[in-house]
Amino acid sequence: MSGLKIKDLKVGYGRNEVIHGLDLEVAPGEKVALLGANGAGKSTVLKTISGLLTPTEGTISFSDNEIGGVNPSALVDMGVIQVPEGRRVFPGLNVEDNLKVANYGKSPEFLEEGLETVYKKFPILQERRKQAAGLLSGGQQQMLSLSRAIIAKPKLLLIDEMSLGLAPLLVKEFYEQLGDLFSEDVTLLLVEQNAGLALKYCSRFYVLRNGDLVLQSDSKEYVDNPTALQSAYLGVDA
Amino acid sequence: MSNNAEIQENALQRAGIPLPKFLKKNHYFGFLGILLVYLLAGTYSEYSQTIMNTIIFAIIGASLIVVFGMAGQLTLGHTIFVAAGVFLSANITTVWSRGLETEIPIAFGVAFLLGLLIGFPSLRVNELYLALATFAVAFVGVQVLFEWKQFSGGGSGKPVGKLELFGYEFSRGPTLVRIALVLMLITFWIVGNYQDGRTGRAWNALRTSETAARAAGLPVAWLKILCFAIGGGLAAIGGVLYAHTLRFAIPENYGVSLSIIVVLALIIGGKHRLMGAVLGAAFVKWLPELSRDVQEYEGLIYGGTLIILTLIAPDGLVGMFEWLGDRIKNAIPSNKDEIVGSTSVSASALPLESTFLAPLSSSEPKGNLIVRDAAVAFGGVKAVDGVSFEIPAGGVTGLIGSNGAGKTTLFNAITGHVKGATGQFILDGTEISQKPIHTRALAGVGRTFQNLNLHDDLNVLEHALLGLDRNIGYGRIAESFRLPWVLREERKAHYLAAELLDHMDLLEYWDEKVEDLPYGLQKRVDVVRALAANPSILLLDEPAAGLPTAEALEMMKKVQEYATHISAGVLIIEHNVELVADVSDRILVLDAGKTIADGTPEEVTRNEQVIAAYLGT
Amino acid sequence: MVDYIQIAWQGLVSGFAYALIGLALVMVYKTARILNFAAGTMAGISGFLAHWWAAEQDIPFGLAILFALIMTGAGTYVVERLTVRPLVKLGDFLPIVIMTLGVEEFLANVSLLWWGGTARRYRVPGDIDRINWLIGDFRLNAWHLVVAITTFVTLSIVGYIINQTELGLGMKAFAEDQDAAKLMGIKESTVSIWTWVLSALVGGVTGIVFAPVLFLQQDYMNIIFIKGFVAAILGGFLSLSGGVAGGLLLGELEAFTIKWAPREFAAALPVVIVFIVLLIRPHGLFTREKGHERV
Repeated sequence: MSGLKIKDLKVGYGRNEVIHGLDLEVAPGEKVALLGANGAGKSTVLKTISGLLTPTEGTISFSDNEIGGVNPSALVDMGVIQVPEGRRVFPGLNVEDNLKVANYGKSPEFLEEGLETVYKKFPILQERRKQAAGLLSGGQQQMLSLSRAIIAKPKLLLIDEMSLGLAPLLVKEFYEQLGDLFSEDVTLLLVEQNAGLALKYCSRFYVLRNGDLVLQSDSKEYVDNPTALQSAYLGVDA
Repeated sequence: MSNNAEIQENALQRAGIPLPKFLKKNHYFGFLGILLVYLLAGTYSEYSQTIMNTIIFAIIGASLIVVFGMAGQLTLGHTIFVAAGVFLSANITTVWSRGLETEIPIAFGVAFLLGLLIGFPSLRVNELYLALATFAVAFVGVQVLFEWKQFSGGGSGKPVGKLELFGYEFSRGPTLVRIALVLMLITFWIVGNYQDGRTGRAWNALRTSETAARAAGLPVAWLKILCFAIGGGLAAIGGVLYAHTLRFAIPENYGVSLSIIVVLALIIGGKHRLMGAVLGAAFVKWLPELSRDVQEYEGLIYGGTLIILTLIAPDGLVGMFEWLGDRIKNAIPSNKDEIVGSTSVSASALPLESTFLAPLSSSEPKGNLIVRDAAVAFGGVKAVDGVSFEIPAGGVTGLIGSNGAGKTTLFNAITGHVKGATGQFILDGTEISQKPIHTRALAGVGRTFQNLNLHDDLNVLEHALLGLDRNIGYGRIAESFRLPWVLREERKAHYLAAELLDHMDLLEYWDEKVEDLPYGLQKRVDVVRALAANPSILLLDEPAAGLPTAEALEMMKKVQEYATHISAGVLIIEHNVELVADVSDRILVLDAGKTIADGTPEEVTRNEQVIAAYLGT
Repeated sequence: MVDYIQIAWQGLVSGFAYALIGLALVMVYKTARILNFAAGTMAGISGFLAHWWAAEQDIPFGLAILFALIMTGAGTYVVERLTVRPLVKLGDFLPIVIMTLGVEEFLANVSLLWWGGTARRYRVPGDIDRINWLIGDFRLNAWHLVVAITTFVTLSIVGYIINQTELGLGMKAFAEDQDAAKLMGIKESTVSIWTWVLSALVGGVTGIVFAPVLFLQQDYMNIIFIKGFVAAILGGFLSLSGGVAGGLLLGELEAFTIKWAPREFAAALPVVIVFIVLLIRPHGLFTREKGHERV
């Protein structure tokens, strides 16, 4: 098992190249953060890993399997699960159906198991299980979105900007719970803008700016002083 | 005046841009073709029915180019206009005993009005609904005709009277063919004039990106209704001819099936070119001639051809020929390099002082934008939460903020591209709150788009001409007949556009289809389109996205030069903080829908709150 | 009084046809955002096949229906794979819509060649369509009852598939958010194929069961297709149940209009309704307005 390996990845939308040759690795079981200001291309990287976008150049592999340009459903089968940016719950479906979708194509026992786990961790989801997901608050939708990922039993977990649009206290709580929600051996690539929180949870990080990798380091170097990342993020010196 | 004319002509010549003329190469070929058939009309009289049908369908095809090829409205009820022409003709010739001199104007007029009516739904629904709505119109139209016995003669139909013009009667046969050819010439000429004029450009723009068309200040709603009216009127002329060919008008013939055939024919031929209308008509009318069997298999052949063409050649037969032609042309070395060389000479001349750009300079700074309590909520989430600021005229302001901060929403609230925005927006003293996009554009709001929204099928020069549309001074009727002042205005616009392209270093690409350009140049075309409208304030939506910072800075420099020249203000949204800090006089920072900083770049990039918002600390 | 009930029942029976076709159209629209112009002709061919096999080829009625539906499903599968899938990648719906026009012309010709243009009436088992019961002054045609039952059964089956199966869940999710659905492991091609086939089968059932009500002739389902479209518009085009309700409403409106209005008006009724709805509530009578324009 050799984790996630990205080599010289280039991705574009039409003629617009957005990622200009990225090298990135996450060892099995490691928790790594992908940081950067918005527009840096972080979501694009996750979308490409999940098969929603096809690389124009470069390779992506997980557990020694080439996964660049593969059909998204095949990736889910492999255990590559994404918690997308903005939660992306299905607003017209109720909470329970949203959770059921996460078990699509898998055996019903996993669903039973998964629902039990999820409802224990997030009792409010059980309370609201027949409510339309579109009516939930932002925080509850994030719970729902994370729960979908729990049910899907990820081997490689990709989380895209969990902090987006959520109150800071709530985000902190989610981060603290992450270890509780997913097993220790899950390989995690976490996309975040909020460096402080991400660094507390991940052991290593990369910083993207305008589609280029500008910095990579161990978290402990910056975890007490995330402001020092400012020039990496913004490209302007303090 | 003639001195000016010389300078003007030289400018266009340098760039290799042909002058807008009364007639083009295509016109000559077309005229020759029509002349040929005209002269031969007498000889192959056994084919005159087929030739007539081809001509009629070509006319209908041309009218459909207006609605579908140019404006992009997929209408499956077009034959209702043909039917109107047919039955009006039948009634006028029998009941009123009048001839073509009455039939044609009345058919055109009635169909025009009918088109205005039918065009209405196109404003409220997307193209898909429209297709089905017009399908329903065609179907039910036939039923209504059936029931309206007085007008249509019911199921048995109505005979068509004599073919005459101002009392002078013609026999059918070759004469009718010749009359038809003349009408075809006129119709094609009119449609061609639209294609070369501002209305054609506007229709093409609204087809390829309605949003961008509105932002350029084009009256999209009216253009949509108008295309149905004009297309309908021209189709009715085809109907009049059809009536005289068939000599009998039966409601049953003008239903859904004919509507579909007409669309099929145009798509098979190629929906953007008049030649496509001819090829399509020929395909549909000559194929059955080849053998009696073909008639039985019409649906299979047309349907099958359509399916295959949709899959492999969406531009129809014409598209295939053009593609072949391009391949042959590319194989032949061209002397394009010479022209490029000469434009590099022109780049050293100062375009901003040119005959056309100079008058645009203004000492009155424009672009004073006041925003008061702007708020936008999407389903409970306050994307913009009570933002107020004032941008002084003539400066460059940056608007930054982390993801989800609301800057794009605020931007779209200013341009009118987001619904449900509350608050006050005032530009140079004019209130633009709650106004539709194109009204704001006409008031002086210019913008670019993050995803460009360029117009496929239009070249770079045409994009610039789009921005200039509001200053081009001729009406649609003059355009139909390419009256002298149309040419004058077109030339003026071409010069201005050329100078603008020159300033943004796009002149050598004037003839390129935008989808063929590299991304960086595409972005510049987007900017040129906005600048051409002479905005009071230019809103740039992530101008640096996807560009290396150096290239983005270069482009921004040019934009700034021009903006200074016309004294317009500039507002930039950007993620690239480095770039914004470099070009802006002042930066506004948003976070969670509210303003958290407002000051000079130095102040803002050192502001702790701003850094915290970005880094989340 | 009985008169009213008779008319209302008549309206309901036609309404069933509109509701079913409306359902078929909305199904495809929700998932793929396109309109299948060949739906009417496809439904017509299904109807022809079933009745022709039963009446002229001496195949037992039930079997004939089964064969017809199987052929419909298989044919749709082929069309979807060969023509729709390659075009989906283009991202523009217009070529697909145009392509369905081509399919419509193609199939209409096939139908014409096979069965000719003359209208006909095939006999149904036991001549049920000729049986009329009298309940007081109210005349109930036996076949109309069959239509009603078939409609309920079909709607129930579709409802079950959409709401109680995993496939249906996938289809619903896909219709709401394509990308998020893909991230859940839902395959676009599976959803697409099943949507089309299901839609075609609903159309097929409608064509088969309504053939004895209308005359079997070359394009007999076209008018139903138009009205099914009106039904879908009434329902806002994004709501399956809205489409069904729209169909029933249209049936009733039509029945009462024919009774009291001049004939020209009754013929134009569908179009008038379409225009009115489009002008005042383009998002349908039964759905709430959603959405804001994004650049």
